[in-house]
Amino acid sequence: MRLKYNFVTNKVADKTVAVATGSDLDKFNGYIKLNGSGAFIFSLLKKDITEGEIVAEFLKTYDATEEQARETVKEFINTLDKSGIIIK
Amino acid sequence: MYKIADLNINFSKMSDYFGSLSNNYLTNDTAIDIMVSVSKSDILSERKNCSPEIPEQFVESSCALRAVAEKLPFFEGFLLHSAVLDADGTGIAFAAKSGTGKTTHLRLWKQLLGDSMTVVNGDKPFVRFIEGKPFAYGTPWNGKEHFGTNMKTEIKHICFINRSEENLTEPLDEGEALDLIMNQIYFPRNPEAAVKTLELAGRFLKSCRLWRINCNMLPSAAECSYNKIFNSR
Repeated sequence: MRLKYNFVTNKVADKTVAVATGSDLDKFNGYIKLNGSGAFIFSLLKKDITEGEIVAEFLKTYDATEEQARETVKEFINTLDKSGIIIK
Repeated sequence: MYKIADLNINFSKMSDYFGSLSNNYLTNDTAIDIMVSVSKSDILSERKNCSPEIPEQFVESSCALRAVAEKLPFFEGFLLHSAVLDADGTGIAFAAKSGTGKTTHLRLWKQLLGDSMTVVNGDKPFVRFIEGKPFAYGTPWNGKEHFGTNMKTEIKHICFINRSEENLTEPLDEGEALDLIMNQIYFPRNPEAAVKTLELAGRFLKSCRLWRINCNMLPSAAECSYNKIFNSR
């Protein structure tokens, strides 16, 4: 899976904010606010990656059990999926 | 050549209409900061965002604005959809969705303050950081009323306007203001410029005092917001 559009991110008011760029701005003309772990997962999704690989990367970076990591990743991906910005 | 927001901008082959909007911005400078050329295909593309009855010269002007806005982040700037006024050297931006009443609130402030207030830009100011401080500029693109002045003012307050029966002005924190300002800023297509715009947006929020103005259309609305903003140091 991966993000459907090209996004760039930067910190704004202590949040990571993502906006679409190039012609993708015509398709997604909004913005996404990300917390710390969300920004981490979002950055991994810029390239094609499986849910299991994201969980593995998550565990390398965050102090979490595998179950917590799976839950966090799944919930975040579901949120992106509902917003229509992910290709599975 | 025109000097807009302290940038020398060369617009090639624009209509007389654009010339009439930009008269106050002519310069004899020759060094070019930004080159703008609006093609037929740009106009066709821009038309997709406009009502079909809008004359071509308006669409051309809109294309020119977009072309400049795409380049502004490379000059520490961005386009902020807002009305900006200068009250005795203090710059105040009123931001709101179109049709909410920022121009009405601006008029009420003008009634209240008279000559001690100048409208810098009624609709599309450029904001640039100069020596670390955010300045808003008059531009030829200043709304259908053409409220604006070729000047700059340091923005010290950003006010987000809501229409309401009761007048209430209250401070906002950066987190609340983030959601309100994102829809008012033009985001360029160029990825590097978009990243820079996000950085500038963050600096802008940190540099200014942030307010929510709930207001009606009566003169007391301006008194309420003015007193809160200028008496809450």
